[in-house]
Amino acid sequence: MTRLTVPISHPEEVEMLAAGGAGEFFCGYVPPEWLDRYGGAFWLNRRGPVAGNLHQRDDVSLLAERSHAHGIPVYVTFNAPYYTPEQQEFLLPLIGRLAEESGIDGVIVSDVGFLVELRRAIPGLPVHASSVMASLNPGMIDFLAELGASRVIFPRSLGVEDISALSKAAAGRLETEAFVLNEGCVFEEGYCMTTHRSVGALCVQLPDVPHRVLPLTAEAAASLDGEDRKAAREMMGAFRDWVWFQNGCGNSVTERGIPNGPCGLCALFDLVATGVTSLKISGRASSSFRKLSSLRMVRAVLDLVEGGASRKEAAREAVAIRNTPEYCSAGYMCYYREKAS
Amino acid sequence: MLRTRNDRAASPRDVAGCGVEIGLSFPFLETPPHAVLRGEVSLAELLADGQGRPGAGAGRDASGLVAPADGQGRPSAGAGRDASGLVAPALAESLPRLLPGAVPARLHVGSDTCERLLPSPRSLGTWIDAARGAGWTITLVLPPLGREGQARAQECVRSLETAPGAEVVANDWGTVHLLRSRHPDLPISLGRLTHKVMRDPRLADLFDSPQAPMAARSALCRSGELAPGFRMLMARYGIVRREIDPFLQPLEEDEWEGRSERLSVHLPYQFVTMGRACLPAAMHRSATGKFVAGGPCQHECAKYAVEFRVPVPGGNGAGRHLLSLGNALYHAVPPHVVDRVLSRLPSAGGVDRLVVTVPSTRMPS
Repeated sequence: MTRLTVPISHPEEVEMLAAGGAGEFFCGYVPPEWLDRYGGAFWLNRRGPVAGNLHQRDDVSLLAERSHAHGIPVYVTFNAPYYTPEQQEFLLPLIGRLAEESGIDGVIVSDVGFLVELRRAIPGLPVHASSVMASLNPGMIDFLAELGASRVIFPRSLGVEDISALSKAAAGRLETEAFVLNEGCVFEEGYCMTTHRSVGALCVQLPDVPHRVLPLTAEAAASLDGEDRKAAREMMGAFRDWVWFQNGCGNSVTERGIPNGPCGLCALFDLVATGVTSLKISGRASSSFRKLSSLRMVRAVLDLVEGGASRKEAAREAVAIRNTPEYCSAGYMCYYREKAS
Repeated sequence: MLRTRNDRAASPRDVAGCGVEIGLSFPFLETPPHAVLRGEVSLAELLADGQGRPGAGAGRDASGLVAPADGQGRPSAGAGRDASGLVAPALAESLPRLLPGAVPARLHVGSDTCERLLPSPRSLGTWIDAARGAGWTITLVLPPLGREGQARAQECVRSLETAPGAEVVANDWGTVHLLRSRHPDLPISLGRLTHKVMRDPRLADLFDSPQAPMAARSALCRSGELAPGFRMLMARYGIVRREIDPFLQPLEEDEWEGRSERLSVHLPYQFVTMGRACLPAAMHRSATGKFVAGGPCQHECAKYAVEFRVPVPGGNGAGRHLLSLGNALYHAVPPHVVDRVLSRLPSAGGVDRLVVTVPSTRMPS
C-alpha cells in the first residue's frame, strides 16, 4: 500500500489527519535558540522560522506520542540547503535528543555532508534525502544507499517514467517518495539558492519585473522582428501563467475550500504503479483546514486506485473532485504533465 | 601554437606567467572556437565584444526593458553594448591590469545547467582535437544529469581518455559517484552548482551587514563544506578541485583558503538558479508543451536570452539585472566583485584557476 506523507505543524492536528488517512507525518522544528542566533536570516528548514514549525521540543514529543498511538511515524525536516560547521555542531545533539527523548522516527536532510555526519553520530536514526538534494539519476540512488540514507524524496521535476526507473533502482535499498499535491517550484529546488526571506520568491517576482528578450546574433535580431516576434511575446505570457499555477494559482482555494495549485491526482494510477512507497502532500505552513482538504482529496483518489479503478476512472474522478476543469485543462497545474488527463 | 603576450611559445600551465590557469567556457557553442584557439581573437576582444569580433553585436542598441504592465512582455531587440551583462567590460578592463600576461589555455565544453547541451561523443572529439592542436587542455562540463543524460555523459567521458590533462566537472553527486566507480583515475572537479551558499542578487549585499546577527552573517558568507561530513566525501571520492562562483557577498576567508582541494573561480557570471523547464525553449512549443521539465527544444538558447531587472530592497531603483541564459539565471557581477576575485589570484592556498564564461553562440571560424 502506498503511504500518504502529510504535513503537520501542531499536535492538535494529529487526530484529524489520522482520521483522514495520513500514513506518515513530516514537521518542522525551530527551537528558540536557533532564532536567537540567526533571527530570520538563515532558515533552519525550507519554511520561514515561524509559520509551519514547532518551537518547543515538548510539542514534538506530544506530536510523536499522539501519532504513534495511531501507528503513524513522524519525520522532522532539517532540509536547509546547507549547514555550516557551527550549525551542524548545534544540530547534532538537538537531533539526538529528538530521537532519544521525543521519539521521532527520522529526519529529512538536504546537505550531503550533514547526512554523513548524522549517520556517523546517530547511526540508528533513519535519514531521508530531501527533494532539495535533487536526486535525478541512478548514480544518486547508489550514492545515497552507500551513505546509509533510508529514503529518497524525488524532486518535483521528475516525470513518472523517471520515478519508475529510479524506484526500481532503489528497491530493496531505499524507500521512495514523490510529490502528489500542492506547492510547486519554478526552478529546480536543489539548485535554487535564492531566498524567500523578506523579498519573496524570485520566481514569483520575475513575470512582474521589467524584462526583454535579447537576440544573441544578428540573425536572431532579424527573427525577433519577424517570425519570432509573436512567439517571444507568447513565451513571456505563458511564463507568467505557468508561474501563477506553480504558485498555487495565486495561493487560492475553491469555493469548497480545495487548494488550487500543483497537483498529481490524475497521475495517481501511474504513480502507484511505479512502486514509489510514499506520496507527499506539501504545505506545512498551510491551515489545518487546507491540510485536511488536501489529504481527503488525495485519499479519495488513492482509495479508488487501490480499489481497482482504471487509469481513466481515477483521472476522471480526480478532475471531478477538484471541480476546476478550466485549471485542469490548462495543463500548467499538473506535476506530471505527461500523464495528465 | 599558443603564444604569450610577448609572442613566445606558451605551455598550458605557465601561459599566464602568474600561476593562474585561465579556462574559457563556451556553453552554447556547437563547434570549437578555432579562431580563439589559434590566438586570432584575444581574450580582451572576447570579453569586450562577447562575439569574438569587433562590433559583432546584434546590431541594435537596446532601447530599455519592457515594463510588464504592457501585458505580455513584449520582446525588445538589442544585444550590443548595453546593460544586459552579455558583455563583460569590467572583466576586460580588470583582467590585464590584475593578471598581466594572462592568456587562456584550457577549454571548457558543455553546460553547467542543461544536459541538452552535452556534446555528442563525435562533437566532443572535434573539441578535443582542436584543443590538443592548440596546446590547450580540455574540461568536459556536466550539468545535473537525469537518467538519460547520465548514460550519454558516460560515452563522452570515455572519449576523454585520449586527451592529456582532461578533466570532468560534475554538478551532481550521483554523477560523481558513477564516474568515480567507473574511472578511478579521472580528475573530477566539483561544479559550482554543488557549492551550496546562499546566492540571491536581490539581498546578497546585505548578507554581511553589520546590523545582522554575527552568526547569521557568518552562515550567509560560507558553506558547509568545511564540516567533517563533507570533508569525508571529498576524500572518499578523490575530488581534487572545486569550482566557485563570484559571490556578491564576501565569502569568509576559510571558504577560500581552508581547503585541501584546488579552487577554480568563475567570472563574470554568478550562477543564481536553474530549472529543468527552460524559458527560451518555450518559444516554439505548443501551449501544452511549454515548461515541461526536460522537454524537447530547438536550442533557442543559441538565439535568445531574456533579461530581467529585479528590484533591490533599499536600492536606488536601478535594480539588479538577471540574465536568463538557457534554463538558468545568471547575474553579471559588478566591477568591485570582479576586482575582489581577481585580486585573490593566485592565492597562497589553492585558488589557481579562473574560468571565464563566453555566452557567444557563434564565433569566427
